[in-house]
Amino acid sequence: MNQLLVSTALLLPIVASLISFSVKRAKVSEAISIATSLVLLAISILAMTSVVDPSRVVIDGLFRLDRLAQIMLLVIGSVSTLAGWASISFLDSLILNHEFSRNPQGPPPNRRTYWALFNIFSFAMVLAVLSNNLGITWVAIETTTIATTFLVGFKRTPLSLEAAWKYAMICSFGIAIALLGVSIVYFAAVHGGLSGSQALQINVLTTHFRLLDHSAMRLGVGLMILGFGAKAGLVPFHSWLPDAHSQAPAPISALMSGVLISVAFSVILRVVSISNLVLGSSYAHTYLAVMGLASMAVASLLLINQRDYKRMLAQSSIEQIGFVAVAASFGTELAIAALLLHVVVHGLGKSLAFISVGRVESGFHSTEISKVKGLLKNSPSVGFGLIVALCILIGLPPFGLFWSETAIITSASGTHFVLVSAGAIAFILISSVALARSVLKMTLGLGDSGSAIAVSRGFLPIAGTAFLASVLLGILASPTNGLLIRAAHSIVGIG
Amino acid sequence: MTNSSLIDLASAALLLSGVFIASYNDLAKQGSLLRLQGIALSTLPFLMAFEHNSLDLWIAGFLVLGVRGIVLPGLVKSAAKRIPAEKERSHSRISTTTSLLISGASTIVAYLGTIPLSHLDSSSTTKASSIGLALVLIGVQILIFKRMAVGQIVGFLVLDNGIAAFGFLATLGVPLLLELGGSLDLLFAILIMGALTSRMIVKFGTTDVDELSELGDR
Repeated sequence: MNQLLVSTALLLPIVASLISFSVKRAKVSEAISIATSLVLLAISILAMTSVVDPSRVVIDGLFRLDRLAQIMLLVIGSVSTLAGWASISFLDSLILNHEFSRNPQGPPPNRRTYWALFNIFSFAMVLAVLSNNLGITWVAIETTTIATTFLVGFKRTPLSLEAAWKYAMICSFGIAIALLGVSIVYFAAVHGGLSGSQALQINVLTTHFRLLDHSAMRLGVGLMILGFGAKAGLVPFHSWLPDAHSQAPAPISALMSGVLISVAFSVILRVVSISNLVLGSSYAHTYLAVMGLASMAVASLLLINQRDYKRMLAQSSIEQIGFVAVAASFGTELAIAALLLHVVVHGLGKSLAFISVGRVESGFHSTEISKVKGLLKNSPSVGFGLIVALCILIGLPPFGLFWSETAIITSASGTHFVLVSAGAIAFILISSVALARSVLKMTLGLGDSGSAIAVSRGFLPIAGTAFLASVLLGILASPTNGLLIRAAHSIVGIG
Repeated sequence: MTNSSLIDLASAALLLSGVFIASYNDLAKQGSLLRLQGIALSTLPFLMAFEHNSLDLWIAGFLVLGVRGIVLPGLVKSAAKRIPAEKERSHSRISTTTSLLISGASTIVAYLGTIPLSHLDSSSTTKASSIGLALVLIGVQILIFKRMAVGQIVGFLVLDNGIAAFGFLATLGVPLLLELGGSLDLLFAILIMGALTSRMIVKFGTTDVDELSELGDR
């Protein structure tokens, strides 16, 4: 069963990508891409209902569908379904705009390329979370950069070109640093006596952690956290995030903010679990606490005076992933379980936010906060979507972020990181107030009565689904939920 | 000449070509030096394959020679011909002397950085692995101080060559699967960066990355 689910999850997006690229009818690409995302979602739910053995490795020990992978697959499946669904109307309006533009920039947007890259992006993320081999994980994360660079520059404007260039450069640099880290861990493992073919396998490294040299591992782990941190949007390589998110098509921003950064962080979690065994927990935990708190600080300070709503959402993502890093630094089972819930709910909330502002952008042709007013009055569905997304993101009950944030903060009390948690609370408050102020500015007020946004047929069901899923998760999944605690246990108590 | 002195010779060629690439601003020269560097890099797995009789290393050697010795430097050289020369713009933020000084300092830092690794294994190749790290730092230097898009791509290639050199010298190469995936990803990444550079010429009329300064928080 394990092997069947893993192979399906890996092969399906590739097949979907090939079909999307070769078939001319847009409807076929749309249907097959969304179906693929739904199958990924189904696989994650099937795996969670314990039809698989989470500790079993398959296909020569290269992959496994453990509990962390199951939860990440759930995030990938759900957000890519929403993003795929939203992409249909996004592409329609983009192509319509291009046809009616007096001064079209470049050739018309190509649906086939879009869907092919969309599916390769999904494939790369699935590969990263299912991989049991640090080498394959690295290749997968690099592949996400390759697939998304063109998607970031999809609009072919000078600004989107700038964003794509910066994105490609910063992320490729970060990932190169991670490769150096992977090579050093390989060096430590081979010199510890592990065979070359097994030296990068995560389960082998955690079982034989005593063989690994400390100073080499310190260097290797440090470089890997720094490098994969670039892709997760952690300081110091966070600057690509607002640029890329503000220029990318809204559904792609949803995927990058909602899933990609969490997928990269799940890789860091795996690295940390090896590091904790070899070097003790204080090394990686202190490292993550510093990076996490610095990311939260930078993001929440930039949020205060933010004028661009897409950059605002991206900075909120840096702040959230910073908080996730802080949670990982606490290292308790409760903190990790809450972190996983946080990642799932944030993925849904951020997708809803990006999909809503995508409609705003296509209606107002501007991403400036000051230009948008009275959404609730003039375009109630978009305004409502944005308000709900805000409530999810700032952690109001009954949404899951309320429970996850409370649990994470509480779990710090028994650790050395009480001050870090106090800092995190301060930054959460600053960013929540800043986010709420900007969103309320856009949604409340009278606005210009002629500024109603044409809402596509697809928008309401998408927003409704994200809303329902978030409420359900808030009610059903608390951080003390058995599934999450078991997942956290497998990450913390791996030894 | 023994095998280990040939490995030392190849390592020296790697480092020297890196230092010169960093100090030159002429793309065609950088392309030629990059080709030399790729060939020097591929001799490492070839020499090791000969000594250890390993098929994986032979394959890795041909892969390195093909991708890093022929295809990628070829792309840089063709870009040098295609992209209009922008003589009125300075291509580097620092002078040649400063670049040489930084490269020297990078080499010393890299040597100090790999001391913990050479405690673990005192073989001469592991000691030479500091060359890989030095190339990584020189690559970073090029990335930071070159202003033209292709110059930065060259920096990225030097950095990646450094990581590959580190892999070969420290551990007789990373597993073939990673080498294969890594080379393929590198090739795609460079092709994408190249495509973006072409779009830059169309949109901005220059490949000066300092022109890309519209985005940001002001």
